[in-house]
Amino acid sequence: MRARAARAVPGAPPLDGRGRLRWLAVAAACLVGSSAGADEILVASAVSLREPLTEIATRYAARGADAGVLLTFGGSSALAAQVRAGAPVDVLVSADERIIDDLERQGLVDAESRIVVAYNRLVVMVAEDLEIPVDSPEDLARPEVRRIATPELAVPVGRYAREWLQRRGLLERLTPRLIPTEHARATLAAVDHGQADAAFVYATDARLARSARIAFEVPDAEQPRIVYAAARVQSSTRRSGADDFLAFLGGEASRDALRTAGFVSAGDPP
Amino acid sequence: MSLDEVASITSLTLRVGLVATAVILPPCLALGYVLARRSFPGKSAVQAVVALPMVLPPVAVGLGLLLLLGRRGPLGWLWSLSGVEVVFTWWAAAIAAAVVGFPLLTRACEQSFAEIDPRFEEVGRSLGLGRMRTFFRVTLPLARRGVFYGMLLAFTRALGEFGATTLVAGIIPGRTETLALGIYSRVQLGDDSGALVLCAASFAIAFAAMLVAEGWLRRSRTAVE
Amino acid sequence: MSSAGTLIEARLRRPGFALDVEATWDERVAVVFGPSGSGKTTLFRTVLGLLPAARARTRLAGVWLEDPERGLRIPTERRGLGWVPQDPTLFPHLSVEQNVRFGAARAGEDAERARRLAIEVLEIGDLLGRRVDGLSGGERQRVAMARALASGPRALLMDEPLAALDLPLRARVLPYLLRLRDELEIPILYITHDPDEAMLVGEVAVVLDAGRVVATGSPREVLWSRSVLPLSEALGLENVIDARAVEAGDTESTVETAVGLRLVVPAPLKRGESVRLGLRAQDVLLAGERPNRLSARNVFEAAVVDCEKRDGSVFVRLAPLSEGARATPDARLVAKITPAAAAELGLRPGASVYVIVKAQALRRLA
Repeated sequence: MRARAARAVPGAPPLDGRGRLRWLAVAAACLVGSSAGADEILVASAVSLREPLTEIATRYAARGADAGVLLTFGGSSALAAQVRAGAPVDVLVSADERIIDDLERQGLVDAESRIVVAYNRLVVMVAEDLEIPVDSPEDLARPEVRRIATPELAVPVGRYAREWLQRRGLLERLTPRLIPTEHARATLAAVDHGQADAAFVYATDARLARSARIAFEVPDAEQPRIVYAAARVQSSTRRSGADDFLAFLGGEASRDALRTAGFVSAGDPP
Repeated sequence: MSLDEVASITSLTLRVGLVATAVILPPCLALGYVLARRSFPGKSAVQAVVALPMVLPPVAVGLGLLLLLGRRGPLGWLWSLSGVEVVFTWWAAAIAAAVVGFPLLTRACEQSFAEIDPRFEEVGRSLGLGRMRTFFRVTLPLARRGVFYGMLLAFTRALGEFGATTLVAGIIPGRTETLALGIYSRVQLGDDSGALVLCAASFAIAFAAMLVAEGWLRRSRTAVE
Repeated sequence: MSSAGTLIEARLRRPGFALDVEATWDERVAVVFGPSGSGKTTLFRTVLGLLPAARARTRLAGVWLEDPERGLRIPTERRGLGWVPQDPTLFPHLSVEQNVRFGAARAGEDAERARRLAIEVLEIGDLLGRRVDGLSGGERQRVAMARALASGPRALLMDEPLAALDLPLRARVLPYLLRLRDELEIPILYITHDPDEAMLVGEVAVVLDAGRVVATGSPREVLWSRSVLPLSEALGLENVIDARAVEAGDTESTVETAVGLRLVVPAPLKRGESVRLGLRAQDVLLAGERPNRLSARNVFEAAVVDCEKRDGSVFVRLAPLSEGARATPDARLVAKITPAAAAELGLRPGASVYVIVKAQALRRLA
């Protein structure tokens, strides 16, 4: 390497001119990266929709749209923070429609453009080694079910689970057994690996379980409204592109991709 | 997950880490030197501000950067002027990594400069070298080990940076999805094996960085022999 | 204003210390003498321009370095001074050769010659390829001197270059130092707190105490002047004894001090002649019992006043108890011995010991 040659000169300072040039070269090489293209619309989506949305974006591009679609993912509340801070998002797809409600009230998303993308369902899973069968909500109160994994109240699935338990009059009795998890996926991991005996998860996550099994689905009449909603961000500079994509997202080709991923599509409301 | 995907995520991560470290190096050296050598009113306030990104949760740092760089932020006018958008580009990831790495590198520089007897610099100057040349020929070579470890620290911190990056750079596959973000989203999606592959890549980078560091330090130790 | 080649004025105020120095001289080689804490090194640092807080006027061998009246303040790096700090402060990341070459840029066209001269005078040719951390103390000191010299300085500033070395090493480095002094034509400022070193090296001595100049002049005269003696006494390095000759002889005489202590001195004196004698603390021997059949001419009993441990030695203050001599606070002697010897003798205040002084160790000061 060059550094050796430089070092062979007696008295040469270790960080000499050539050393600094080398840094510049590295920096210059790194500059040749890409930044967001001008004719792409940026769709910010909940991480849980990554699989179907990637597929939908591919289909959208294949259809020969004017603008390409760039997808960015994150937690729904982080995406909302990005929109509030004026990040250059054109379309927001949230896992929690209440987040869209809030943004709409603040005038940050366009109410007209708003669509329902999909629904999800709340299910109860149990660890594979749980000795007793759990078939009904009341079974959760049996002493063998010592630990029930669910995220904190601030996380949507945690809120849905608590609201439902409340409705069934079980919340007070079960609260001591609830063990808090970081997010929906961690909840599944907890029951999958036996750290919890039971867990509240989304139906879409339940499909990914390795060993845990679905105990029961929350009955239709009591299902929380778990709605994935999308809207154009008010500050979008690519309105027509954004509206075009939203139309496609609500269309049949997209519903198919969402169904494949385990969601209840907007066309088949619960 | 394809090998190409792993390679592109890895090279993006390397680029972000290297650029972040290289960009903060000069200001960290300068600030670290001033903090190590000078006393001035408000010095501890400066030190506290420097340490801020280390104390705050990364998400808060990300939010701050987002507010600063977003269209509605104080630097948002740059966007309306030039049309250049930093948010949601790999530059944003590099900036986030730079901000969280800044206190680490500054602190490392400050500490390693503070350990060097100012007498060496005084002798250097007495022998005819100006302050700048004395810094590059005396102070920096003497502090090189600490500075280098600081760079390594900032670099590895950049590799693992998640909280601030998700907010300012998003998770855009192929553009801003670094290893840490890739691991997160794969865990979220239940793609555990994909996450593990990316973990292995992270480990490989960190390990290689350590090897390079060790090799460099050993070479510099024997350089005058 | 004086037409002297060198003029140094330096004023600096710090908590607990004030430097207020004004000195001029024409001689090429000057020693700055004084006890530690007297401001010697601070004075050097102002001459080097390293203390921005100091108000200084400096002219070195006719060249102005700093003069606030004219707004002149040459930065350290352009003063062209060859500084040999007390601790050699060699650059540990560079080899010996790289250290010596460090200031070569300043020497310009003369760099090669200056370097050769430095290497030759200090005989460090064999050390050039070595690492700094493998050098002995004496080698380091020589390399530091060579580094300063190879930078083609207009003056050399040496800060106690021998102080960090033990005695045998001093003896080995001293000849290089003297050679350096004699083969160069540039001004030299030399800090020391050792009177012998000051006499040996300096053409002129500037004596500092508590940040002020107490005397300037030829070392031989100045170092034993009334104003300076208390310094070496205070350092415990020197006993100063005033006495009158009571017995005259061709080769040696006997003197008696004010308190009646009789001492044999190796000098022909006239009866009744007053003398001032110097006796270095390390030349005072102590014994637990009265020794017999000893070559030393002066043996007398004394009481230990106190013992003080300093710089790895024990300084014992003694009150002579010899025939008819009464202990008075003025008649004290200081002996410098090793801690082990002090322990063996069981010295404690009030203990009685025998003091042995070779006649040869008594030097006539005045």
